[in-house]
Amino acid sequence: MENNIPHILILGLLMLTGLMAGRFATRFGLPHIVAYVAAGVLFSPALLGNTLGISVSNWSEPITMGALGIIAYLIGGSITIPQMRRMGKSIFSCAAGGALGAVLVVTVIIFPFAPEVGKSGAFQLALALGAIASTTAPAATIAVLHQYRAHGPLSSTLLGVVAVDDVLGIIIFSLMLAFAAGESLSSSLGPAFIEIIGSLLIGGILGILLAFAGRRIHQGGLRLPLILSNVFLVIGLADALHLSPLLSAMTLGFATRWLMKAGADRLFAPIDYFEEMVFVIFFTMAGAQFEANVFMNHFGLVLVYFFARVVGKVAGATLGAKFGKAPPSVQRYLGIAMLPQAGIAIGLALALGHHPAFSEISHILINVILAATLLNEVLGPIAVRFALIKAGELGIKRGKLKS
Amino acid sequence: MKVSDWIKQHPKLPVTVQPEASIEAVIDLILTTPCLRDLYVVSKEGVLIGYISHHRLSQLLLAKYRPVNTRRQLIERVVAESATEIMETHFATAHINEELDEVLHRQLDSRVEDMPALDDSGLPIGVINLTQILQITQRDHSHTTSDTTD
Repeated sequence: MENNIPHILILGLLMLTGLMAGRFATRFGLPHIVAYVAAGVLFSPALLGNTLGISVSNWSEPITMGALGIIAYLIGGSITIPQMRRMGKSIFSCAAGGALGAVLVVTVIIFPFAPEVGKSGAFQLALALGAIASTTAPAATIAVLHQYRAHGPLSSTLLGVVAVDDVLGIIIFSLMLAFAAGESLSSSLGPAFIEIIGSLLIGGILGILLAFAGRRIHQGGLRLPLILSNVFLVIGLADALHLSPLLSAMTLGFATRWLMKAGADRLFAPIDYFEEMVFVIFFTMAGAQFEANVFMNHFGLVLVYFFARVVGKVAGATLGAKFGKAPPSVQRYLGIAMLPQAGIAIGLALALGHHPAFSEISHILINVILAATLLNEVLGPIAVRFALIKAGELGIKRGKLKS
Repeated sequence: MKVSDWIKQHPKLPVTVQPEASIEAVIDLILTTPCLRDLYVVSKEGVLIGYISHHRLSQLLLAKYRPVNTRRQLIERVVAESATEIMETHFATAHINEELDEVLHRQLDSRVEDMPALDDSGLPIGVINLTQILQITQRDHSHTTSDTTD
């Protein structure tokens, strides 16, 4: 049942309730993400959703894609080629190991446990969960490093790894989407190749235009609309041309930063602090799509996903660290410290909900990722702290700051 | 008053570094030069190519003390950078033939303490220092007030 409540009013309600719940949770030392989800759940069908006639899944696509596009643009613009060179083999090897390890282990372990749902099938559910498993949560990791004044080889490697992890996460997710859309792997190869190259091209071309405009537009107030218009343009064009909006937006960010060289900061700084707003939207929207029966029916899947991701991250990061000749403490404990997972995972799950190839399993995906993210939000920081203790890099805990 | 006249009366050159200067060298310079808030990057030919603010440097150096970092700050924390990588290429300058009161708006808008004044070939010949302007404005204001009172 859906009443005539304007969608923008629902969005406002979700965001405001989420923000208020977040402030309340922070005051009591609880993770604000849990509060955002709880605020969203309040508007889920089982609670106020049906009574008020609130439904978000049928109109939220442009908002989800726009918000994910902003994050992808920021992720793409976070690193330059000279920085990549200076970062060294070790960090990339650890990040790639952790990401690919999570994808492989989650996909392989989930497959036998995944329910057969419609045409999408168990394999696509396993593949989707596998691709989402690669992402991490830089904010949660930095918060722990900061709180305990951590310092040492594990801490510095971890900083580098979480900074580049989501770049790999978006690439893996986009590749998965490109290949999963076809009937078989062989029939997907050609269209997937076109999708990837097309996405890189479109992001690159708009990146050239954005960098060109960025050099010429000197009024600070025009930068925000310039950035947002380009991000929305690239994801809209990618969508219309059946390319990957996320890969295009990330390429836009990367190309803009690369072409602007010095001074590129002004084409990213205006939207740096959008990330929290985007996560409020993601978590409350995902919370509003919470279905208790779906969660209960797939509770086992949540646990399998959680533990498979732990195994994948730890094994992959250890192998990556060994390959990259990282110090022994990094080889032993990096994987455990890579467990936090939050906003990007939820955003990707919400995006899959609007993809035709995954429409039948979207409710399972969103509910499983939502529950697993909450689990990770609680256990992830504990895992980071444990890894830092074992590596002997824990400093003196900071006192609580009054906000 | 023309910018060139101001520069003649208040000669002060911008503090500059080479593009390849390391962050450590930039920090040393900013910490050892009294009251330095704005640093400029010059090419080998002496042309101004970039600007580094005290605030930008502080953000870079003190990122590890903050509980929240942007993704770019995270990368910057891991890899050391050079002056050219952190400089802002779009920054406010004045031309020697401009009127001083015309360039003040630009200086206030860009929030720089030392705005470089350039000659026709783009080379810096001095800076317009905001504190000096404030001192003179305040002095003139005091004179006007005392004249009126008298």
